Amino acid sequence: MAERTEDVAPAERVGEIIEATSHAFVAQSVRLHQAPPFGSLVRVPVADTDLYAVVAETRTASLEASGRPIARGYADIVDAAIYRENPDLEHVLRTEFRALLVGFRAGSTVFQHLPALPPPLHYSVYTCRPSEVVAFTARLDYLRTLLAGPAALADELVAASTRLAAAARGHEQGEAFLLQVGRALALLLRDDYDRLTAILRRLRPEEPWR
Amino acid sequence: MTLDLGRLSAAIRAMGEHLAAQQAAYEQRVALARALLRTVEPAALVAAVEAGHATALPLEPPAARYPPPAPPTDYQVLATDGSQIEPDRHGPALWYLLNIGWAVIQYGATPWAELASTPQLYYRPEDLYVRDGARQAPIQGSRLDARRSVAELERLAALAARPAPVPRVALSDGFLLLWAYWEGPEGFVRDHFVEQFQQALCRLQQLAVPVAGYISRPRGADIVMLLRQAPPHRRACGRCRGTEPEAPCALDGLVDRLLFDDLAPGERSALFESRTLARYYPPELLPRFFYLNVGREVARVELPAWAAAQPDLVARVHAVVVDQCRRGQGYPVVLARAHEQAVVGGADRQRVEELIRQTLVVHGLPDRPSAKQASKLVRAV
Repeated sequence: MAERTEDVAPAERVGEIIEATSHAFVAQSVRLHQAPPFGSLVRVPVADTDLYAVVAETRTASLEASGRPIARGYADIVDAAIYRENPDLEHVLRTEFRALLVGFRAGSTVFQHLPALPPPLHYSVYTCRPSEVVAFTARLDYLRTLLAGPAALADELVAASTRLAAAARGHEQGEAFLLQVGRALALLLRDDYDRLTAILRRLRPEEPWR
Repeated sequence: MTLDLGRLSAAIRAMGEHLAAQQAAYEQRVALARALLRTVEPAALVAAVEAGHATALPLEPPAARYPPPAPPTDYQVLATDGSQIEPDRHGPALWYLLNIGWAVIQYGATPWAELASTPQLYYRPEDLYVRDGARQAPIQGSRLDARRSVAELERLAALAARPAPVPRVALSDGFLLLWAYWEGPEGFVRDHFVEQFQQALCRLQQLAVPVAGYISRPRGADIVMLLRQAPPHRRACGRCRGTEPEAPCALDGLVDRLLFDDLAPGERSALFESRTLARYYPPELLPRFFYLNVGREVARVELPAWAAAQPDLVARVHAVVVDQCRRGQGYPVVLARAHEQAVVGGADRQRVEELIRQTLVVHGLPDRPSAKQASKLVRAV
């Protein structure tokens, strides 16, 4: 696996916040169908702090509340060809993503608890570079926040964000990170063995399950 | 008090029975009118229009019909639409707003689209009144509709002024004339708007972009009026002959679109020229129109005479409108998109009113509505 070569790439502006609460926000994706990946860490710069959140849900629908998409394919006009045939569609559909706030950075200190205020509406959401992901996930207190959601989705979310954070560390350190998360989860879920194993299995999906 | 639906229900039932009873009579009348259209001597109709007895001059055999040509593989379609916030003379200040929305969609090898809108606030005396010497007329109601139509067409001409690498068609929602205003009694107001409207139509002509007015569920009866002048009908109908003013007419109550209900999907009718407003428009801008089965309904499409005189442009407009309706489930998608951009909802309206009230307060100006409006806002009992 490449060792954090993307680190030189600048963070990309991927969304604009259209709803915000104390613990989560919804952002409209800059490009249709191109929300940041499920479980990825995103950053919202607000004044001199950076708020961090984990992408937990993505949806694409009509831009207008009353608009309802209809099937448009016919003959060999299917999939991507539908968008070439209807260039207006990209302007009347929108992709939104919901992200759970997991902490913030003030100066060089990272805090893994909720910020005092959610980000303001219309502020920008950026992807995080691998170095930022590594820095934020140096501590694992945010796992508890992710686990607090509806169980089925939360399990997937913890697993996805952990896989991405491990990948950001490159192969060797990624393996160590997975072990570290596994131990943290074992503590957090000491009363729920089934749930723990369900998540652990999702951390190493390529490994045959024993 | 609210509407008494109980008292209304008997009238609604009677209305349903009335409409059902009319249906059979209509079918007979439509059959008669279609037979007239097929058999009438076109020269007799042309003579009737030239004598001023009818307004729709047939330019092709009246019963002719034309299947849709294939649309260009690459084409661009432009449309504008507008909405307004009416001036409120009971409000704290006199103003109105026009929001012009537009859509440009290009199909083919390089597909792209632009959807946008631009609001304009009018509050200066020259915006609020049309003046001619000492006379002045406030812009509201149908006059505001006319101003909006002018703004829509001007925006369409501005969009058409951009260079485009592919054939284009500009679509406008509604007639290519300022019908909305036509009943207005004040000649100077009409002249004011008609002049601006014509200038925009001329710009589109100079740019060689055919502009088509698209009318969904048209209520026009130009062709029915024309058929009243057909010699076989006049022989049979005392009313149309002028000898028995009270006699029933077998063409009563018909509208053109019913005559063309038998067009096959995609087919258009013959072209006709509307002479209704020939006094006010130069010959090259007079509207020519055809009826078109767009799949879900029969629509009316109007073109200025200069464009309708070029068979390739008529074919382009015909093909593009059919293609647009196919993509838009029965209504041109570009017009639907322009409308979505233009629409000003109730919440938007309230926000604009609130912002204006705030700015009045900031400047220490009175921000109260009239006593009548205030009494509606707070109902004292």
